[in-house]
Amino acid sequence: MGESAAPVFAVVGHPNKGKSSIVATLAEDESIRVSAEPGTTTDADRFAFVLNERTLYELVDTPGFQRARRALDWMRQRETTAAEHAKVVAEFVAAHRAGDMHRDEAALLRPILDGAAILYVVDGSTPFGPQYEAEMEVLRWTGRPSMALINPIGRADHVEEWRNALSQYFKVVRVFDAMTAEFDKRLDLLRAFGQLDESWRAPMDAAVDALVAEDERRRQRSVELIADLVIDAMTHRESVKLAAEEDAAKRRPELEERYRAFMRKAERRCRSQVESLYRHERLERREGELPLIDEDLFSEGSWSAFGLSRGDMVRLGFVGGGAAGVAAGIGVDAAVAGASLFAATAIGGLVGSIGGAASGWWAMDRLARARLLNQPLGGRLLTYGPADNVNLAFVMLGRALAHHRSIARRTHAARGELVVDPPSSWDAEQKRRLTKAIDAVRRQRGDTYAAREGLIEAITTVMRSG
Amino acid sequence: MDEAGRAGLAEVIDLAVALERDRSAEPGELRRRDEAIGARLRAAGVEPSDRRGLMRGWLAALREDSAGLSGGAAGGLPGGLPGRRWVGAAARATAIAAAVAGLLGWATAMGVFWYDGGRPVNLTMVVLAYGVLPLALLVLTLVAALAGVGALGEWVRGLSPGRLALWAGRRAGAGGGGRASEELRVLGGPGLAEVRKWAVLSASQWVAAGFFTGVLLGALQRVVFTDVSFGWSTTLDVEASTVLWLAQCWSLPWGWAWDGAAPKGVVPVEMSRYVPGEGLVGGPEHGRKWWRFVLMTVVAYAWLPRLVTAGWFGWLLGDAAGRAFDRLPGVALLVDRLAGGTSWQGGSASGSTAADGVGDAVAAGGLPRAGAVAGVVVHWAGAGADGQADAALVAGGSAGLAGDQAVVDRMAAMKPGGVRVVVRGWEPPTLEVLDFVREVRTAVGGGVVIEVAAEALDGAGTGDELRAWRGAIDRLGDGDVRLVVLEGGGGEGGGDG
Repeated sequence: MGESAAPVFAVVGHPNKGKSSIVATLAEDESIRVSAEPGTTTDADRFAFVLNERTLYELVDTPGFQRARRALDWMRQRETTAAEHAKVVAEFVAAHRAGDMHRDEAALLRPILDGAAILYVVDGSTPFGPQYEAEMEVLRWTGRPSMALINPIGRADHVEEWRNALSQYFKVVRVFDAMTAEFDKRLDLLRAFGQLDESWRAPMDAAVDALVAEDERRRQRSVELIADLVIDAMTHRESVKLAAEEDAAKRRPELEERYRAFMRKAERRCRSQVESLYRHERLERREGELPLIDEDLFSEGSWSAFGLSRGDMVRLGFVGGGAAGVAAGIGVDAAVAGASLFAATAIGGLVGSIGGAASGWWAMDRLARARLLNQPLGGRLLTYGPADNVNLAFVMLGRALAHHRSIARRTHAARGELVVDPPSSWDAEQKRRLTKAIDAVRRQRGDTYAAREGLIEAITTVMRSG
Repeated sequence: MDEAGRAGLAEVIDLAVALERDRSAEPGELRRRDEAIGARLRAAGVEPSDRRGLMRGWLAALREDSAGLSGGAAGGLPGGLPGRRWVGAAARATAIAAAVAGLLGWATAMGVFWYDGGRPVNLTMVVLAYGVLPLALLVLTLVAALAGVGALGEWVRGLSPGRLALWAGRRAGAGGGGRASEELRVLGGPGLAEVRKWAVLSASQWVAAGFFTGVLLGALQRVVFTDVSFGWSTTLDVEASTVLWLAQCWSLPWGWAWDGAAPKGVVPVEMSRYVPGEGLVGGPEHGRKWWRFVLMTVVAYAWLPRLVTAGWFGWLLGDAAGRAFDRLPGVALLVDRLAGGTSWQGGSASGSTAADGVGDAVAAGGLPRAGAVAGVVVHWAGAGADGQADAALVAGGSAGLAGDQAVVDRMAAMKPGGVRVVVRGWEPPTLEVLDFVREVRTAVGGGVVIEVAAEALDGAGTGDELRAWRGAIDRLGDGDVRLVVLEGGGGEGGGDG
């Protein structure tokens, strides 16, 4: 067996019936390709799940059976008693290690003879056929712990038919859709692997714990990446030095376009980093597949799907402005030792609320402001940004969270389009928390780490509830 | 800035720049690169829990790579890491500014302590210039440093130390090209805001200390090499005893340690009162006694406090650098990649895609439909079972090898004009069925068309499987073996032909 007696699971079966899909999903390796051609995979491929330099378990992706009946025939010709079956299989492997006739059978049986458990994979979307019986019989001869996995590659029309057939050869028969299996389903399967042999329970439990921790870590890192994207959205500015007599108005469109290009690039970068966290580095996304998040960042569709409504903007501006006004009023009241009968607080709150609501209303139509600054040593600097419109942060946040959700759910066997759910709606409290955190980032006063951590906390809350 | 602080500062700048450069690199490359570096570090004994050890090792690896490799963004760092360069430049700029300030301080002291035997040096002005004013500026500095410039009002916000540093950096980096501009963007980023603040405050204190060192040296020069007399004077009705009380309070910080540097008794104070037109009440020799008091004023209220704040701000700078080292955006991700944790190892990732080597796309619609067959129909592994005639031949599946051979023998005897082997189109072509087709060819001889009829599941074959079937049949190298699609199941026209 492998190092430290880590359990090894050989994924075996008929060619092109989802063995590699299962390995790809469990090993989170989208580089594993499914081949429909016979004989293209000639060697078993080992994937070790390692935690802190210790292998917890291994998966072995094997070539499919090509001449199962012929192999079984060879073995039966040498059969003496049932007790000798495993020995006969070993003789078979030894005899065909080098030749072409049973190269694939020898390759798939070798890890089993070395101590691997058998994970026999079939496709539950196609009917059972008699050609599988020879394969299952050969596997039974090895005497190793085994489990059958029905992996419906498509509609699960024939699952029951398969279950009936497989139950005659395997004690454990499970349905596992490698294309769509959510994280919990993967953990369940690993726990079931641990049940095949008493000594495997501890390493498989450790593997499950490690995966749960890894999943949590990925979510946390994704939140950090998304928070940094929002910080970029709220703090970035583009600037250009103007020549002596240059008209600032003529340079403004170019500056604005540079600003938008930066935001698009930052969003793409965040997405690819999240995809890398989940080991989806080869994700092939065709243009237009994701109507929600592949639409241009600044399109009307994006802003209506992910942005705050004008009512939200006014409301949140009202609350934020009111709080600021109250704070200012308290300062005035404190300065006159309460002699104002706290009228300043009330007036400050009212004025701040109205001002905040108004700014929320007007900021809705404007992304950022262009400013013309005089330089300390002469010359003029035209700047665009940072964003005035908090909605930019909400749109980028909504799109990033939707993208994250689809990536986190996607298995590594999936080759089709990325499925994106409609954006979840945030409740008033979540919007308020996010607005407050985003506002702290916009102002960037005091401890910038604290502003970032506040934003991370707010996004974490939203992500968990979504 | 002390040496330890500078080292930390250089490291945090290196880290910030390296992380910024990594942002434009392909994440998969970064993961592979950092996992490899992490494995090397752990093998060298760096514990996965030692975050700083991992990051320092990572920076060292990047420096090595940039020295030895051509370096893409995910490999080495083109141009290396700039931390030591920036810190060195800042240290040189601070030293030059401190030296210039020292000269200025010396020049002001030479002016303030100028005495030609006529009007004595005004003690009150000395205390104000080198005691009260530095003290007031120091308090403002401390308020700005500890409570933030906001506490000083909106009007000084533009003068915040971080912004000053950024402005100075821009001037220093002007003309430095894209790399300098990138580094400046990092240095001006929010991740290093605290570092910038303390770097500027620390440098400003060294410059101030340089100024007062110059003042001190100038004052000493005047005292040692010239004859300086000090006196006090006022229009107000102030008694010498009041001046004595004020002077004793002022000299409390050193009076307990250096008796001669604090005024003793009201008489010497009265003797050093300056009366315009008459000179000092007690004569010039009484004015000379104040030199210790004056020197200690500069030392205690200007020079020493600036040395203390310079050291303190330097320590806070190191602290801020350390915090940034741990909290820069991207650090957590980097440490995760370096620390290992869980990973998948092995796998050749060399599998071919479904279409590899097969050619253009094949779907059921792109293949000829099976027509009536004039010859033998063989049902392979249960294929076409629905329309299977009693006389049809059955091979594969549960038929066993002997059954296959019997079918082949029968065809050899029959010499049919054509053969159709019905297979399940949704199953991939195994070598077993291809062996059978070869055996049939041997049995029936050349020139006889053998159709491999792929039965469709629910009326539709899948593209992947049909591609595989066509590829497999092509590889047989027999032009008379053809793939057709069998619609509606069954082996119509079965029986011997």
